[in-house]
Amino acid sequence: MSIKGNKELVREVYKAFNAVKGDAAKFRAVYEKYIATGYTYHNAAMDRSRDDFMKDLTAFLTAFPDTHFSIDDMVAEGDKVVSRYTFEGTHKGTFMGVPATGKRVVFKGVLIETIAGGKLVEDWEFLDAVALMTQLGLISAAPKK
Amino acid sequence: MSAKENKVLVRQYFKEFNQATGNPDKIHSVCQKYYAPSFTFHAPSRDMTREQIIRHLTTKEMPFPDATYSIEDMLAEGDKVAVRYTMQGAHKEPLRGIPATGKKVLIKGVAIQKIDDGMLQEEWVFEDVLGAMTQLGAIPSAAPKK
Repeated sequence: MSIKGNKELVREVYKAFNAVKGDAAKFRAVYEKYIATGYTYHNAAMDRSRDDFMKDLTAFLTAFPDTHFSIDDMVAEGDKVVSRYTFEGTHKGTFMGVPATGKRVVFKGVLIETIAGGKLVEDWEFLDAVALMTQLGLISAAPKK
Repeated sequence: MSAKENKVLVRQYFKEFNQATGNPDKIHSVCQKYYAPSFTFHAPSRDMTREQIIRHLTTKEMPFPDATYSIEDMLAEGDKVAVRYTMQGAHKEPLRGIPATGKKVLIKGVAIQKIDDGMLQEEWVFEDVLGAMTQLGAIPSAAPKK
């Protein structure tokens, strides 16, 4: 696939996950469509198999059923696309042990996606976990330093 | 400048920063060389002016003043370069209120640079601050069991 095609696919994947809106069947369909069999996910802390990441992502999208990711920028080369995104969603379900607060949560992140055969085969994700955990009340806001 | 030339520039920027690390005057020189006059640094929750980021890198604001950066992966398109990197450094100054422990951390991040006229115009960085805090013992690991 061309670089242009890869970027289009990434936009399509973001849009598809935005449309899930907490619906388990829709989520499974999107996951099946876009996430390759041998997919691996990496973030700063851990590596996850396809199945394990599916559980992680299910938990996240259930807790934030109005999840909306918007793409702020993209850089693509070869079989990879880097996208900077902004996440917005309402904390409506238990997440990381924190019961629903009803708060609007916003944070930024970056995804590096490797694409083959029209699917994602490997992702690296870095997101502003400090902002997320601060908004959930798990960390106190940064002291003046 | 081509995407290929931009990658060469960014590799050189990383190399010179690593050579200067631990020496605020040398870091200052590297910043002067690579940061355009209107350079803006974007951390996930905060934007910094050229002056603010240079101060951050060359004073006690920098928790890991002798940090070195290894490039794990790099791609470029147009005027942008994206780098996935690993940072290693000792915790010598406060991090989010955690007093210096001297502990060595190894954390991962992504930096995206916008380049024009042979200089960095903007940089967006996502660095694993939470991971650093966890390695310093400030937060119990949030990793799922398995």
